[in-house]
Amino acid sequence: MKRFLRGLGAAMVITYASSSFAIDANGAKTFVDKVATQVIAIAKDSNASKEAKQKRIEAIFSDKVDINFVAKFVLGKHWREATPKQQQDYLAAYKPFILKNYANKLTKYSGQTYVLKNPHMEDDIAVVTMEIDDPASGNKINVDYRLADGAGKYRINDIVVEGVSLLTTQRSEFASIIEQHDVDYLIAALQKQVSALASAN
Amino acid sequence: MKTIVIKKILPVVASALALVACATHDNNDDPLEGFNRGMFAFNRGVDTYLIRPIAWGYRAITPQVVRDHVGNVSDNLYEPLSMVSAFLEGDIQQGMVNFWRFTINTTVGLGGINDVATTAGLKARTEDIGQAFASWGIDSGPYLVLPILGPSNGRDAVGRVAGWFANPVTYAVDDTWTSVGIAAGQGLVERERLLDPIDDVYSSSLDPYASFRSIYNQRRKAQINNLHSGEDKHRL
Repeated sequence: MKRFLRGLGAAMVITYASSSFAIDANGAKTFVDKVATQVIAIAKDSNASKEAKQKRIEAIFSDKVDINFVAKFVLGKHWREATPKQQQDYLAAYKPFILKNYANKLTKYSGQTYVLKNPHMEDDIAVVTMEIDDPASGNKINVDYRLADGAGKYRINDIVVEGVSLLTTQRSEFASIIEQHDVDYLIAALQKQVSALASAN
Repeated sequence: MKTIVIKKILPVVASALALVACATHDNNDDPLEGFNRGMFAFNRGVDTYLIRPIAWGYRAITPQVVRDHVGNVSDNLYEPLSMVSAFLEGDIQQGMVNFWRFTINTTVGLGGINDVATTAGLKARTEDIGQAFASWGIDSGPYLVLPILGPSNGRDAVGRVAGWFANPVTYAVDDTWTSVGIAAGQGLVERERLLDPIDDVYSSSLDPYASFRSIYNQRRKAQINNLHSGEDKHRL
């Protein structure tokens, strides 16, 4: 019996491993390049309104960013402490919050070019550095995209700008809000911000 | 006069460092949060009604090309302190890069107006006394919001004071008000560069105080580890 179980375990590992899609550094680079090209094409489209651009960029990010992972990560230990109802409300509020924030920034695109550098693996995370060249100011900014395998596809987990991680920053921000108030307050604040961003456009 | 100042200041700096070098701190560890939030609110007021409008005005009345050259002059004046700091870190190579950048840009680059050193392959990287302290193993100490200057920590605040006295520019100028003027000018150049990133944080963060604290801590860590060395034109 014991032997059977061990065999079964091994068989499951093998099946899992063979069916699992493995991410690699070069694949990640191609992925980032493709997403960036898509986003820039939308941002550059002079025929589209800002609202339309924003919607299209939100759709790309919704597909390419592992929002459920990010949402849980930034809530940290408070995710486990939250009730199922709170978790549900939080996820529902977080998704439009993060999408609107990202898309809002990206519609401000103004002719920057990029080079992708140094794709490499850090354990099971693929890291691709985007060196953004701003022709207006002549400044170079390094942005690291951290990608993971999300259900058989490349998914963006974190964006690190000059050493500053969006995940880490947001986790601190949310922890600070929950320490001062509670999870319900955070959820309400997210909802409020979403409607403010929506009406601002 | 200057030696007396150094004799008086050094022991103060040393004991201040001993005070801050107590424990390690994670991102949200903030024993002085009450004081810091008060100072943050004060700074935000000063920024909203005074500093940010000046930075906007500066952007509005100057074309980008002028700001680039003014920025180059400002950056060039950081090089001597970067050099001293790099030497204090024991990074002789980096110190020499800062030395040659300053020498080349001041002469060939016409007083720093043109950053010819970067074109020549000497990449820009700023170092400061806080980073030198960190390289000696001194812990950051508590997070600290300074009046006007903004996010800092015990170690970096002491580093700023020490940097004033370790900066060769202070002695070359040899006039306190001129030095203060240069520092204010550099601050304005920096504030203009950060107009959009800072506006972004305010518009997207639900707790800007916590966001800036986290960003400062991460950014300092990256600078201390010289992440993406050579690419760093932005200071924070």
